[in-house]
Amino acid sequence: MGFWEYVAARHQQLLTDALQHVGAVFQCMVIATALGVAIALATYRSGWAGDLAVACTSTALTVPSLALIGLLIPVVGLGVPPTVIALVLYGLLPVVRNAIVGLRGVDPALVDAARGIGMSPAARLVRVELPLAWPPILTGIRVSTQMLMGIAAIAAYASGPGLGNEIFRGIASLGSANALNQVLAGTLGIVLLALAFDAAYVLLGRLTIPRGIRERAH
Amino acid sequence: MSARIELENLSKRYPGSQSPAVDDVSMEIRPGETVVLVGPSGCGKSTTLRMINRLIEPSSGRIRIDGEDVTRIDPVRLRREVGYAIQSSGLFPHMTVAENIALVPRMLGWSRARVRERVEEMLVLVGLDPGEFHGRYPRRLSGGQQQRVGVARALAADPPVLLMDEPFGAVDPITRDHLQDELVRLQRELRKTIVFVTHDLDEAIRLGDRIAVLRERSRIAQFDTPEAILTGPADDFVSGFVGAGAALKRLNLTRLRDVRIGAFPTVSVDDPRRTVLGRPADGPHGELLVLDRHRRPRTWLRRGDLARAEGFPARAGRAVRGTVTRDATLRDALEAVLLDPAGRVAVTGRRGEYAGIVDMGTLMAAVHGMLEADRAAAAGRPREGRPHRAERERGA
Repeated sequence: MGFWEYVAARHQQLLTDALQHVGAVFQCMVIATALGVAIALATYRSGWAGDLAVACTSTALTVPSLALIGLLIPVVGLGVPPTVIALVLYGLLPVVRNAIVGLRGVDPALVDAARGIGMSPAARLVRVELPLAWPPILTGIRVSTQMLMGIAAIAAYASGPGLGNEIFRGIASLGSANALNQVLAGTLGIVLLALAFDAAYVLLGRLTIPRGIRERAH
Repeated sequence: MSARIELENLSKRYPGSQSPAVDDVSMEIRPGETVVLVGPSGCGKSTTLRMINRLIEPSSGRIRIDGEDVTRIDPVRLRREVGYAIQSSGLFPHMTVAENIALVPRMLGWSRARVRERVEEMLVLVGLDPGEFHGRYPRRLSGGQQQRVGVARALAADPPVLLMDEPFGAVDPITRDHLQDELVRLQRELRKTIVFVTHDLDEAIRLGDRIAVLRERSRIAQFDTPEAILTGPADDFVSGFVGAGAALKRLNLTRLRDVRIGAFPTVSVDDPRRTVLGRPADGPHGELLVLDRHRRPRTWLRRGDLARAEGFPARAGRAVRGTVTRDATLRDALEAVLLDPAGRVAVTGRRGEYAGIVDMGTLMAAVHGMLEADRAAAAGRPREGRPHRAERERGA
């Protein structure tokens, strides 16, 4: 069976896997973003706390993904929980680091001006610091998402959802008729989804980064 | 709408440092006056200013605005009632000019319509066309325009007090001169109580009704009118700070509109030749000043020029190059006179119309008069009751 025939024959299954893959990555990114920005907000004002947060999240990233999922299985079982935990942990680092760098990079004169005209600490954060730090935060989210796209495939090892199942099935039956097609379909699917996500982020950036601080196109 | 500011024994001591950054400053700033804090860098002038709106909490002492002790009220509330303008404008780059200006009124809960109206009003006030600048982002403004918007934002909620921390420190000298003149004009209209920090004595002299020269730890070396500080520095520190050229700096204090300027024989460009020839000429070169139909200086005309131009005054003479306005300082006028080949410069009014001329003689007479008056004042002057600069200028 050729590759396209395979895709045509199995499109139902592939579509389900792709949707689950997207769903898993998207939901984990939402959690990672919320958690990451929260960690950054809690720590960016203090030199050592911010550095500690970045160090911890980058340590998490050095653990091989297969090992991490393997370690999580005895603790939380198979399926969705180890997938979500692993993806969120990996997704944190770029978000935390970029958010801290972004928030620390806001011109102190502007923060001073915000205080000086009578903005409350909350208003300062929401109206001045976060909007100005948003472009680097968004970049962090984008990098995280790309990374999670690949890592999510590993989740199939723990019986998690997604296109990883195709790849693992193929690898498990190497030599059989459809093995290569399965690996190829899973991999290509992930690449396509990653590209689609990236396009969505470009659009999101256009929509959410205020015109006054957007980089000039030329 | 303006308020009295009283600083009582204000000190700021940072933990871990031996001596206080600001040591026991007491000062009274009268309603509607512009007080400039000037001193070498690191003398604590900025810290003193920032304690007034409690961006820095004083370690001890008291601040009263219009009698109310503001050391105890909510600092956020206080800051909304005190205008604040800083160096390099502090405009938020992700908000448009209008959004920047609208910030404080919005926080104070003004209605949308009132905010919108106020934004337009403020843009006009600082000399920016609302149609053009309303929706612009700060990065598309020049340094001077940004600073104007910064001032507009500080004044948007009509605060009685305006604090300015080296607001013109980051703009080029020409723009700075413009902005200083603008501020003097604004202040003549608004009569806010302004506290202005700078390290530039010339700026202090141009803007201040009174100047506080500060030495280290924000100790007041002298707190007096610019004239008094220039002509009678209290001690070596002040005279060192004033530096050489006090008489030259004094020229910045007076504007042409305040002194007697010379007259010059003029003719209109439409006058027939006979009238022109009949008018006695003046100056070392025997000249007449030809004015155009709007009475603006047009050419300097000599008898010989007229002969050469075959009798048409409109064609003859050499074009008037530099003119100075009645709002120019004597220093600007001196500059213009020195640059003019014949040593005389036409003075113009608001719409560019002829108002007189200024030359070395005019300037010398003015300066002598000023210095004599300063000396007399320094000898037996009542310390209070001197009119504000704005009043002096209006009266002139």
